[in-house]
Amino acid sequence: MNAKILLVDDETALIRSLQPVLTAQGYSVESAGTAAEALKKAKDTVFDIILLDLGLPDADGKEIISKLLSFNALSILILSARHQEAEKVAALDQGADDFINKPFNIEELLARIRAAVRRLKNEAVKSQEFRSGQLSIDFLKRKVVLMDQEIKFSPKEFDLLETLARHAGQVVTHRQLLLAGWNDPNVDTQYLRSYMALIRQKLEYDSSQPEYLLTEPGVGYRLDIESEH
Amino acid sequence: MLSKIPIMFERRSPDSARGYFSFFVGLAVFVAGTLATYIAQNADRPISAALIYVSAVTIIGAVNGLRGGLLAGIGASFFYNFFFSEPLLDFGVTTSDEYIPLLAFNLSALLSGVLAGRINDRARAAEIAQQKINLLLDISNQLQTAVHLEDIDRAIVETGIFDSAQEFEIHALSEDEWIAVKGKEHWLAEAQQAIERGELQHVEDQKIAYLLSSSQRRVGVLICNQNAQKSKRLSKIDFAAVLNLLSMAIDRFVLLHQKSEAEAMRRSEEFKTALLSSISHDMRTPLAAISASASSLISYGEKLPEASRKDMLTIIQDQCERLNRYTTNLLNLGRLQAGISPDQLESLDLVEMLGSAVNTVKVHHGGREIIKSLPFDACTVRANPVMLEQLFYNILENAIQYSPDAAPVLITGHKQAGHVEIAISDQGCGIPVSELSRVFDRFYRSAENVRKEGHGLGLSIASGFAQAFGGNISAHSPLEKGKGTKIIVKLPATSTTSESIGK
Repeated sequence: MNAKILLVDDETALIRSLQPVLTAQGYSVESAGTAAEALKKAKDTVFDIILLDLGLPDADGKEIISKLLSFNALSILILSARHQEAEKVAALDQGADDFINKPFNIEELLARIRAAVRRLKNEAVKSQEFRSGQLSIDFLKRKVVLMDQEIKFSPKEFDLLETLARHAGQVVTHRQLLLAGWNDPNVDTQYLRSYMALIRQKLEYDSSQPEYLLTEPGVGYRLDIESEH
Repeated sequence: MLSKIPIMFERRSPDSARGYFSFFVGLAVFVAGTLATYIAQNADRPISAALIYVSAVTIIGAVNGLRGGLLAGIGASFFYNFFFSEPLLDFGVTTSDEYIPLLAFNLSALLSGVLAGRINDRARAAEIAQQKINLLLDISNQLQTAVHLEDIDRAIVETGIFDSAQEFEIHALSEDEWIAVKGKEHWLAEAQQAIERGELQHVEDQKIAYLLSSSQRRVGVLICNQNAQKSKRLSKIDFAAVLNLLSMAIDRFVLLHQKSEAEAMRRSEEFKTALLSSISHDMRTPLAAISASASSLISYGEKLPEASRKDMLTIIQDQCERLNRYTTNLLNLGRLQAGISPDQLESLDLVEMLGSAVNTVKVHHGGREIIKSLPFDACTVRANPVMLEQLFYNILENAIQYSPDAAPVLITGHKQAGHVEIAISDQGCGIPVSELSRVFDRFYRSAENVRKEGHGLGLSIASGFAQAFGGNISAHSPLEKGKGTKIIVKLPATSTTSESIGK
């Protein structure tokens, strides 16, 4: 799939350094320096992924998220130098799928783009399983197999893992996880933390130094595994 | 409130002076009455004579009060008996016909004197009570509007509780901090002792210390010279009322003081947060481009066309320079906050420094046309060379960033008595009039004009430097057709003889 990417950032230096690599990776890339330009381009063309900077000169990036989505943009990835968790959570609540902190490594960005593209494909087929290396999850039979061994998960643990796996590679906010596990976004995140610790004990080699189930401080969790789909 | 003061002084005019005055008026009336009575008696008009005398006594009573009236009544009876009524120069009464009018006269004189005197005394007592109430009201009003300790001090001086401002001191206690009016802090040790002793009123070493307390806590101490005359119209009870009012005013002052300190602390914290957030944002933006370029070159360098590789290297270099400039500005901000001392300044040629700034700007923004049109070749100012160059650099860079690429930036100059003005004009979108005063604020960025490279420090630093050199910076916009901004730097010029040197 030759995904179409719209790069929205007022920093021309960043666009100049990203465009050649993204193009070399087979994506077709367009860029916009302002919110107005981004909205105009998104109205004319359907983009699979929009890389959106929050600090635009003419508008706060997160204010145009819902508008971009209404123009059939499929997935929005936030690029932001703002390390304020509240900003990220607000952008994700507005409908953005993921974020990446500036400064970032190109591999990191490409991995996020791949995760977004994969999720776009998965959504189309409503995948029934997740498979990656040593880990496979059967969503229908609610079975988890790690290194050829089946691992028991309680129903709530499985619900949480399924949500994370369906967003593999992308951030899942506390709110999304609370809704998945407790059906109530106002439950104390303390419960969520204890369940994440339980899941880590079952998945990670060293649960105090997780490699796959990562914490995004103040925002949520990320299952940092690339699916084979 | 000030208009009340003369009235207060008038009220305070010493009672003794007034006493002498009315005494002499009374004496004059008595003498005049006596003379008139004598004339009437000689003219064989005894009834008129008696009436004149009684009238005089009544007037004296009205003017001098009970004591004066009584005295005049007795005096008149004596004079009348002795000099005017037959037999002359004798108190004797020869006939009963004479006895009754004489008795009537004596009684009338005495009674009218006493009655008029009593009315007068009542009126004066009422007047004094009124003045006392006015004084208390006045103090209360002034203390209620007092915000600073100085206001409270002034209220006490103006209402005249003490004879002079040097006779008393107020020491307010805010948690562990003592606050006093500047220059009136000599008795701080006494105030501290008074709080420690905890007595409501303490006399020591010719001074009286009064503890001032609110319902919850001790709020301060009023110390005054023991012989400092309290206003005559204030009784002990009234003074206690004044102390109460004073306690309330100082309690309010202490609360306001604590609130404003907390507010200042909160602002300073907010500023620090804004500063850190701004710095991290402004550092990460160029870092993002550097990191993306460098990691792309490492991972995909060989797959990219030569032009792209070169471009990425240029990006890395440019962004490093940008980070360097930003760091310089942060350093300058630190310098400004630390303060610039006069020994960091030297005599410099403004034209030379301006030329140097233009050269540096051209290195970073090569394409832009900068037109310099100065009516002089040299001009000596006292400044720091690095800071002066940075001052012009920041203004020029700002002008370039906020105007279209093709529009030249114009530099003009103007000399006047003791000053030199350099104006840097651009043809950009201008600054809204409502925001003109804010462009030199730290971290200010126009709402409609938040451009990529701006960090809201450049003009603020330029302004700080200009002030450190004894000058100032002003912004003027729009220039024509709603467009353009002119920034004028005004600096003190030391001499004008240098004008010929360059020629």
